[in-house]
Amino acid sequence: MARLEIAQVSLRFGGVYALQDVSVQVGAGELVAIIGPNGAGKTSLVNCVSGVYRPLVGRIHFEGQDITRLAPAARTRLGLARTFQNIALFKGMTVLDNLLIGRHFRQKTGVLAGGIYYGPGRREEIAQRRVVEEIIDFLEIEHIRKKIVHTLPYGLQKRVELARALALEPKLLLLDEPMAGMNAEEKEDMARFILDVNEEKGTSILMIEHDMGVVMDLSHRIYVLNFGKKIAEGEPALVRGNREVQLAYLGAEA
Amino acid sequence: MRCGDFRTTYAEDMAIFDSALARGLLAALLVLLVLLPLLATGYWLDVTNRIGIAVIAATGLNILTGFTGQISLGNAAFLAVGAYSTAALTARGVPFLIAVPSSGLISALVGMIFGFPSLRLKGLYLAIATLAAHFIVEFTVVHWESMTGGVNGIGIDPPKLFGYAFDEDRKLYFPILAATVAMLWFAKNLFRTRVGKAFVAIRDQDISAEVMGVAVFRHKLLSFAVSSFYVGVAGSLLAYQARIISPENFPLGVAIDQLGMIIIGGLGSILGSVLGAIFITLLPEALRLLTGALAGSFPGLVQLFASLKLGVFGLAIVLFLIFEPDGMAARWHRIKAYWKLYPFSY
Ligand SMILES: Nc1ncnc2c1ncn2[C@@H]1O[C@H](COP(=O)(O)OP(=O)(O)OP(=O)(O)O)[C@@H](O)[C@H]1O
Ligand SMILES: [Mg+2]
Repeated sequence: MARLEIAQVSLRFGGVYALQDVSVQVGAGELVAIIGPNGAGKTSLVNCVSGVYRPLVGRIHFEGQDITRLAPAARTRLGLARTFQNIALFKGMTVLDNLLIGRHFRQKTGVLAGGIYYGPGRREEIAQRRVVEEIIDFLEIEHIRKKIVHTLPYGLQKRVELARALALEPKLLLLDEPMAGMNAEEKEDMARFILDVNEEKGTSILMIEHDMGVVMDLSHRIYVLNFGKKIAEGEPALVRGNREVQLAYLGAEA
Repeated sequence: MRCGDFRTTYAEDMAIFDSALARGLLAALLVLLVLLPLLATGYWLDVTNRIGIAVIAATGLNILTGFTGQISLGNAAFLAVGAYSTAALTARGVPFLIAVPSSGLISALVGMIFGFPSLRLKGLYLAIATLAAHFIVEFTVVHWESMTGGVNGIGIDPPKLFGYAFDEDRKLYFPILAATVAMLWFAKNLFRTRVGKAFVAIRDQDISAEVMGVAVFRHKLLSFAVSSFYVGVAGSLLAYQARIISPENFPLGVAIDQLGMIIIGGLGSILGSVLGAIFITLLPEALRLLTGALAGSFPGLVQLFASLKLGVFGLAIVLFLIFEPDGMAARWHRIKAYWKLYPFSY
């Protein structure tokens, strides 16, 4: 059984089909990429999985459970996490606090215990702080942990957003263009982190990315979307050789 | 000389007042506040008490508007709910120590009900919806005469604790000070922990918050409840201080004043609520002193006072929006950061 199973999903905005009969699977521990030209429907697909959009038809199963109609927060509790194409961090909060929101649903502290602080409130805060500090180490962002997020450069914000998603300790990570707008060095770092997450933590990853070099290097399998339809799937070498893909996507760039 | 700081445990790293100096200054301030009734006249103790009440109410509004991003114009209404609850409870013999938190809880409940539109509405639209709270509460107060005394108002007996009556501002000062300090401390802690951080996350990016597993609507309602609890407690203390309350104590202008406090003090800052409440409460006092001093040479000034007050209030907000949009608290933090590393500030 695949960890994520998207079956024949369609999504429409007015007269435009953003997705048409798209099926995608991600296995346990797999790193799968979705590619396709602008407007192909990649983000829409991720939005359907994370619950930001509801598909018109089709089903989405996560670890065998039908999540098609589940609220986003409920999916997160099952083990889904994502980043956004346009960074959607909590801008006025510190890096630490952004990550601590990832621990929110595992915590119990309510208004009273929180306001009184000493006792259970503080104990829980310290315990979660430990977890979050490990992720901070892992992504090498120790030096900015107390910085307010909106003061950080773009590349670092992208990394913080990955960190925030990891704070959820997800089973499946959805990454929407994690390297967009980065310079070569930043991309290299990010690629290394994504690989580490996948290999060391065994997290399944579904990643949208435009940089073909990165996609070919990192992913186990690739899906290609064009005008809302899936036009190819398979291992990197296979997809690279596919004529329709070259025409629709690679050809358009070359 | 202080040269930055070093911490060894997470508990230390998470402390509010993170240095011995800061803790010392805070202790000195508290001692000064406790001794204040020995130094101040009755008139200025009335002003101080009103500041304490305004601090609690502004903190409540800041929790909802500054920290959670839900604009509210319902604060005068929640203040009224707290005040009239206290009137009703004390009339039935409920003691001070129970009446105050109960009034807060009743206000919290009402606030939560008026928070329901926040499921669908944001920004200005939500502000208009909370305006409905104001008029509904006002209507209820005027027409439910058996409970509220209608437009004539209703009297409240001075609070008693162990047989001791707090029947003048000099005495009432202490319970108000205690409540203010306790509620500020509680609010500060709230934002160091789970629920408070969720509030801020909702303010900054509600879709992200939802995707990160925060039950957004539930926390919005919770924010309305906590906020209205604060405002309700402020209303309760206001009732005890004023002794007679009527609809005239709770015009829409009170809600506007409180928005002014948190804008000038600093949205999303506890310290900002304090500074803003002090500033806005003292503003008319300063004007009064000034017009009093100038009355000899300009006799017409006294009649102008009322309109002068509104004009200066508006001007203060505009000036702050232009020159210090993050409020007085931000200015304070910058000054503090400067001195922390002095003289090696660069
Ligand atoms: N909320 C929306 N309302 C209306 N149309 C939308 C919405 N979201 C997406 N679309 C449309 O759906 C189609 C697919 O958009 P989507 O954002 O999924 O593309 P994408 O593959 O992520 O593109 P890009 O590479 O530019 O990010 C586009 O035609 C887009 O205009
Ligand atoms: Mg996209």
